[in-house]
Amino acid sequence: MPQIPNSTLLHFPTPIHKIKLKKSNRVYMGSSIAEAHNVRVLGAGDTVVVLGHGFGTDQSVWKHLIPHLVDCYKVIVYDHMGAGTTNPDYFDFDRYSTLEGFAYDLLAILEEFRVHKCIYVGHSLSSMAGALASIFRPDLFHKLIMLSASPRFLNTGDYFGGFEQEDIDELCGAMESNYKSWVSGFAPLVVGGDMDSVAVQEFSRTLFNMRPDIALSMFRMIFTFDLRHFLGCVTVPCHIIQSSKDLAVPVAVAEYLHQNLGGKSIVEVVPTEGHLPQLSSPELTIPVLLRHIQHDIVDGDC
Amino acid sequence: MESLDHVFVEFRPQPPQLHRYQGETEEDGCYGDDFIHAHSPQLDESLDAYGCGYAHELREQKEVDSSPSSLVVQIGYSCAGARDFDCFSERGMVNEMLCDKLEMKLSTYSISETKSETNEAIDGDAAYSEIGNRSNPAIGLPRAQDLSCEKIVGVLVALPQKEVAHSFIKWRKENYINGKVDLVLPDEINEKSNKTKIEFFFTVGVLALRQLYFDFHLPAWPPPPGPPSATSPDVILSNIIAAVSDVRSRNSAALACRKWCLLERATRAAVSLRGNLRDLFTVPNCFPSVSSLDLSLLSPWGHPLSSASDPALIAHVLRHAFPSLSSLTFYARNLSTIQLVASQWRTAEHVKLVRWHQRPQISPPSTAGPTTFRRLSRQAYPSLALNLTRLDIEGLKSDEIKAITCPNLIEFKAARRFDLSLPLLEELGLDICNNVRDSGAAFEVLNSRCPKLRSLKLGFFHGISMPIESKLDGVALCQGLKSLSIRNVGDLDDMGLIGIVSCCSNLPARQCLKALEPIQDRIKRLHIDCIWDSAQELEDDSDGVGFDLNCLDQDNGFDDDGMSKERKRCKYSYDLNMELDVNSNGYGNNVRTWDKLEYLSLWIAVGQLLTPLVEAGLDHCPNIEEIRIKVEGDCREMSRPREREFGLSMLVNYPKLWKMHLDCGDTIGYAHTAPSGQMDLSLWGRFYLIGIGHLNLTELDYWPPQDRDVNQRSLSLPAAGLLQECFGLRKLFIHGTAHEHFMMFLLRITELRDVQLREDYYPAPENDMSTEMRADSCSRFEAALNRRRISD
Repeated sequence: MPQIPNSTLLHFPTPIHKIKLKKSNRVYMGSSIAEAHNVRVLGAGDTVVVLGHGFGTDQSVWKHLIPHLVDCYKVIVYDHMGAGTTNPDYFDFDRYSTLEGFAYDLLAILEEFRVHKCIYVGHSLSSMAGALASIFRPDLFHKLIMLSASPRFLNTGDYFGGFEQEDIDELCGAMESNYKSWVSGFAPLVVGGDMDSVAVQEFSRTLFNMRPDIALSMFRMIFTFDLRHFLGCVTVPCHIIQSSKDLAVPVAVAEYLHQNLGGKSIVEVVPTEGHLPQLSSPELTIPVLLRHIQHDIVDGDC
Repeated sequence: MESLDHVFVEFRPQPPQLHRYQGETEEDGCYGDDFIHAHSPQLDESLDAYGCGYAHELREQKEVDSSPSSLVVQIGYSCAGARDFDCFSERGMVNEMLCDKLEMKLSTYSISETKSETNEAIDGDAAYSEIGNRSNPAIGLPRAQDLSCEKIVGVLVALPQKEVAHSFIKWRKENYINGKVDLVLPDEINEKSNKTKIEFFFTVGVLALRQLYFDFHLPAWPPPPGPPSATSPDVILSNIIAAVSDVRSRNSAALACRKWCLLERATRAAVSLRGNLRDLFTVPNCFPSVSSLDLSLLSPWGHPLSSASDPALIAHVLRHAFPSLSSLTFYARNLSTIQLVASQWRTAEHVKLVRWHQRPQISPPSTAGPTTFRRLSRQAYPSLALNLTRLDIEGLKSDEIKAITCPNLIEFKAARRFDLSLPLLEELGLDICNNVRDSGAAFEVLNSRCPKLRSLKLGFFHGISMPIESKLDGVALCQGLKSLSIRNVGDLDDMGLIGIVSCCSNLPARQCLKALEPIQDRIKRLHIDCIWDSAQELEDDSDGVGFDLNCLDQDNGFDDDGMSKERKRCKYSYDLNMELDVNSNGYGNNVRTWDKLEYLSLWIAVGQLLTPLVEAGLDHCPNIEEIRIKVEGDCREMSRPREREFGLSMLVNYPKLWKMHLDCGDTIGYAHTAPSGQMDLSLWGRFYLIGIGHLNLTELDYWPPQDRDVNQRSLSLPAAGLLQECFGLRKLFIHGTAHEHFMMFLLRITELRDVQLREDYYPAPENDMSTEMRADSCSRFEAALNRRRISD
């Protein structure tokens, strides 16, 4: 297992186990972690597979994958704080204004369930949270499987993230106005029909599945984080799986990840459409995911 | 005599007590909610456990106005709640002490009012001397002037005793309170048959909130010599209360006074528990006589008893709360629940296993019930099997039926499957000159086995079409038939016939309605398929031809096999002149209305509008109370409809409408983003629900449209938002899932008391991975719902 060079640690906050959480951050105590995140441990096996869902969904997004895993693996699924299934009162807007909050949550869950080594499968936001967590604690991760992952959604310089700042402003504006109308009780009449852009519709759908203020907060966080400079610190092997047509993540991003990750990595582009291929095209995506879970990267591959 | 004002003592509720979870302190800044030990008032669908007992300790309360007159109003409140029993507010609680006083007061009145007459009646009967002194067969006739406010009038139980009747009539004449209180004496007292009409009145102010009528056979009068207890008022009263089957009426009765409350509880035979599974340990134990317990409606809906945190404890608590159980109904999908129940109630005689996720149509044998039962009866609990005398079960194969060994079984109902198949049969005549009962199911099987059947002649078959609500059955489901002849059928009523007719997919709605014109002023319940076949109809009408099946058969161009589900999507265009044609065709001269129609059931294809319904003939329906709308079809084949809304707002034409089933469960579409030009399910949900806020609905059952690919039937944001506009809604059952924060929308409905997510469809939501609404979310919503103040 490669060790993180000491110098890289300088870029990061103190590792989780050394952090003394601020009072406001001490939201999980004892076994409540499992409850707060709806953690479920399924199946039996020596190897642990942890599944992290992306923005706007919850652990049910893995329902097509889990049945294939439970016979050979111990599977841990959980919901992000702020997902539609968690108690919205637990969502700490400060803590989750950066990706670290989610990374800490993941590490806390692993600690709670005494996971010493796992295969982590992350979708979208979670793949990046997993990457971050693997920088803090590389010893906990055997490998990362990143589905529809992107270190930065905005186009910046010569980096093509897929979104222009104006797009995001438009989306945020639409969300905000809808949120306001929701608060005032008229949202149902506004949402959907009067928003013509497919992108806005798609995001509004996912957003409004969460409590809208939480969704908006996370939405902003997603479009501000930039993990590109930290990719080099990710030393755990990474399997990058990407839809050939994804509204949120261009294929070029997968290649960018592959080029810039610090450890071994491999890219597989699946001929699927959409940002949630595991849900929309399970017949194509699940076998690919399984293959990457079951097999490690051999040196020749990357 | 002191006025009621002075009878009541001040009602001082205990302040609410907050309980924190053990081991978590404020200092930790833990996120554990303050746990308010609030009871779900639905735990029993009555407030029995709460109304007279400890509820005031448990519920969060606001400062109660302590002036005595307001307390009288409170009692009135409780009675008002009687109309709809689960609607009491914390202010409407009746303190036990109040009950006692009330009873005392009422007894006093009855003595003073009726003493002379009753003494006469009971003269010479020593057994009744006590009654004359203490209480009276006629309970509770307060004088109007003694009622310091008009809010409560009282409860009357009238026995078939002329003198009491006279005294009551007199009382009514003297004390007719501002013409507002409608007290009616048992109108026909027939001493010969010993049968009388008993009426309970719970009358509050201008609102006559609940009247209950039932016939009751009283013991011979005057009573035969014998032990005095046999005919004492208490026994009679007990019998009367025991005879009341309606739960709300029983709850009302229990509120009258403490004695009634005790009698009611002692005679309660069946209880259906609601409320949350996790609160079950607080189940009331004041129903010692309950013999029939229904646990299948517990919340979260569709979670087995064995999913409780400590199922054994729950079972234990239940067994102690209901010691005399003989009949049990519970939700079961696996063996563990059955084992749990069987281990606790070995004396159960009647067990009903509920599985909500019924497969449509004729199903292959269900997995959990029969198989597990068989295993159960064979191995696990032979003693239970020995005790069973009734068993309802569906979907058993014949060899499985053989496997059930219950020696004492008296009644056994099983939906059998037929193996005979005649795939080429086209014409069948069955006239066996012998009465055949309950033959409906056989014709359904016939239809499935003989798909080519075109002509059917039946004689002496009964029960061939007995539709329940809008669910058709029997011969009505023989879709391929072109000719049907029925002879000597004893029980085919209007609804049965309508069931058959309404299944003829070639009959447009307008013609169907016209066909029913001769009997339309007698129809109480109606199902109709909303097929707006405009061009065809106009043609028929302009000819002045009435309803003629043959004519239709020739004219319209439906597929030969009659199975065509293609509904023409012509937009209905209605010509006002048609009205004249309708009037000139024989029925028109005296305009018939649907005066008797109380229940309307509609089938409508997806994308079709409801608006032509009124023009099609259902215009004057002053008494429709309940409507069921079934929307069926595949949205994925449809482009965005031109109209913005389905047209629910037109139902404001039915002024008495208060209950609706809106079933879009068989509407299939894209749950997630739809291809461009089409709408996803949230927009379809909006399409169908727009305008629902204009209806003054009290109860709503809503089946959201579904996406079969992802097995999702979820309440969408627009749907949640539109539902929240139904301000008068009291009961809302959503047959699907919903996100917590969408559910929270519903809290804006101030009147809402009862909300459930019922996942009663097939295929069942995947228990492990369905996350739109988790048990925790459900509990949080219920807690928020129950925490609210109830306006009435």
